[in-house]
Amino acid sequence: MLRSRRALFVLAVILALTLASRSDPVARLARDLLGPSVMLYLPAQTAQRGADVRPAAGEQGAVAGSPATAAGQPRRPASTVPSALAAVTAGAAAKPEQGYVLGARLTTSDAKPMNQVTVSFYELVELLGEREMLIGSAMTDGQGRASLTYLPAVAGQREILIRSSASGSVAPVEGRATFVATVAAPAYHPEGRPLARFADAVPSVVGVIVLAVWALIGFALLGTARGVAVEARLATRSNGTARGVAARARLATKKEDPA
Amino acid sequence: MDARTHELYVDRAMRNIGKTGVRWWVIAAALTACVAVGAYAWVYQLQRGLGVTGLNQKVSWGFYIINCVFFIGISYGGAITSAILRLTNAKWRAPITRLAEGLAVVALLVGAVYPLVDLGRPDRFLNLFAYAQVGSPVTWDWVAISTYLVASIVFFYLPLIPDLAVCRDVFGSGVRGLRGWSYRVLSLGWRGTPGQERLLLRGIGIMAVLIIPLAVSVHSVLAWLFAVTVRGGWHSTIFAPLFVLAAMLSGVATVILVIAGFRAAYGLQQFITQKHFRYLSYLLLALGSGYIYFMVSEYLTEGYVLEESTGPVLEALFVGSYAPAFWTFALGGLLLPLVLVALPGRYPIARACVASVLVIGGMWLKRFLIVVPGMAEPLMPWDWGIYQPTWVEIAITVGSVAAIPLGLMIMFFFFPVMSVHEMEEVEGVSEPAPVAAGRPVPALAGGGDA
Repeated sequence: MLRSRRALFVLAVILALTLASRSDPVARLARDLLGPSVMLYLPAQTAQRGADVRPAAGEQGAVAGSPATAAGQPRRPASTVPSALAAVTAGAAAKPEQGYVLGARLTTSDAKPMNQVTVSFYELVELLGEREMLIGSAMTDGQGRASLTYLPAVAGQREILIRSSASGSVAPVEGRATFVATVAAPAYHPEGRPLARFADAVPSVVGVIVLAVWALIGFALLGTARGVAVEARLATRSNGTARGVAARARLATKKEDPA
Repeated sequence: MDARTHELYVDRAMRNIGKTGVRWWVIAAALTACVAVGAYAWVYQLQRGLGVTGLNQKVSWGFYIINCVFFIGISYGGAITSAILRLTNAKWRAPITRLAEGLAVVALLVGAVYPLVDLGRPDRFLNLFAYAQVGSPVTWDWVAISTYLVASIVFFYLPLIPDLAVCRDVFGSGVRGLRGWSYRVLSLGWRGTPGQERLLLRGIGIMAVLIIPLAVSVHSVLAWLFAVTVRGGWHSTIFAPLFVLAAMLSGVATVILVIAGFRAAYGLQQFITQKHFRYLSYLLLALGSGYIYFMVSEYLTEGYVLEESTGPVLEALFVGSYAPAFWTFALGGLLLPLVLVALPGRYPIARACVASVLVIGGMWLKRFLIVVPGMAEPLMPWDWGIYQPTWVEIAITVGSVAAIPLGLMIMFFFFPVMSVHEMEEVEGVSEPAPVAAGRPVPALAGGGDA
């Protein structure tokens, strides 16, 4: 009888724990007790363009903590398969104008990569009120990695929030990381003009033509004036053209005798 | 050439230099009064701002831009007429080239003032240099106009050198002061030596070749001020040649009127004959026909495609509020004058003059129909703009119209109205018409019957 009571008690406890483990508070407690620590770090590859990406001040390149404590966020509801955010990265993109590659790596509690899990990336911004600005989402690959390219609107220290969605039996997790962006999207980015190189050359070409025209005008005027003046000095006649002299004489005669 | 013919040339070309009769003063006073009213209107506008004009937010280009294009076009016609006649060595050109070249300079000076008037604050003109944008047609417009102005003055001056020498020799020490000094200095010691003739011919040849592309460029840049915008009726690839043809047409018409006026006033009937008017009428006919072709081509292509911005403008022109002005221009200012000069008959000079007046009025109206409807058409869902010129704009326009004959009268108060040197050059081909016996040639300054 006693054995059967003990057996019933044990069964009741097991049943209660089993039922309770499906609720959020218990799941969080279980994850706190059982879940592995999560490294939030900016790995060495983020320093490919060292000046562009640096660990945030005080982080010394890595931040350790559990998924919940690393960013100080409340735990997410647990599911049957605990997940973990193994790494959050911000690395330089292939082209400087593309900005940075934000990356996250999801693993299970036993460090196995989690495939086909959607990870959303947010930036914590204060413009128009403090809020999470969605950057974009990416799916984890076979290595549990998800990444996307991001060009911040302004340079300086940026705080990134990564959040994985609950998917089937996978528990959602979130984490944060900061990095200093030295490349940012320009406030105004005009589209390139068509035929820009040609159009830029046109004023110079026209300017050369205008200068040539002025040179020709100058040559026509100054060359003629100078030549005529030189010829005049060389001329032996000193009292006007013969025609002018004759005409003046005739006009003088007319004045004297109007009839 | 005998001495008698030379004396006749000198007498006719220079009889009015430094002389003013009663009629000269009456006409000059009337024209000066008109110019003074225009100047007063401009001062009035400077004191009170552009608000005294009919320009407004929707129609910000009006009479001033129309007049700028119109007067520069007239200048272009004068210069190109002379240049083409020189390059083709047309023997009949000699009595009219001086008038055409003088018209080019005076009309350009008048036209170039209008952008300053349109600015409202002329001091802002300096910003064109301080903040010049090499990609803007406005910048190049001023480069073209200033270059063309200098070229026109040089083109006027070079053929004048031998005549200035004749003035120097004829008037001798009888003319003192600025006029006598300018004859001595500007004639550059001309003696008519073969070396001087060769140099002068070269200089005039360069300028005659240069002035044509220059004039074309000036009016093309003016056209591009309109054509590079997306306004209805303006954004046309054919605008530049259309403007050039319009300028030549109105310019030749003005040359006809000017030579008719000076022929009558200065007693040049012996030299400027019916032949000159007939040839210039042919030129008018050819240019007018070309203009009709270009205009039909423009309206046909625009009307067939009927872009969103072009349709309302064409509708306003053909059947809308601007239709009376448009059909007045098309029939009265373009078709009728061409019929007048094309048909053979009596009174060729009178017909040429009437046709020229109609063409000049019609081409001004055409500029109005280009500028105002294009501006008045709303690019946003608003009502059409309304432009009603005020007395200020009308007074300035009248003043500038009067400034052209006044400027020519003053110009030919100092300089010979015909090129004696050129007439002597082509004497063998263009003999002066015989003077009717016992009938003295009238002269404006001499108090004759003009």
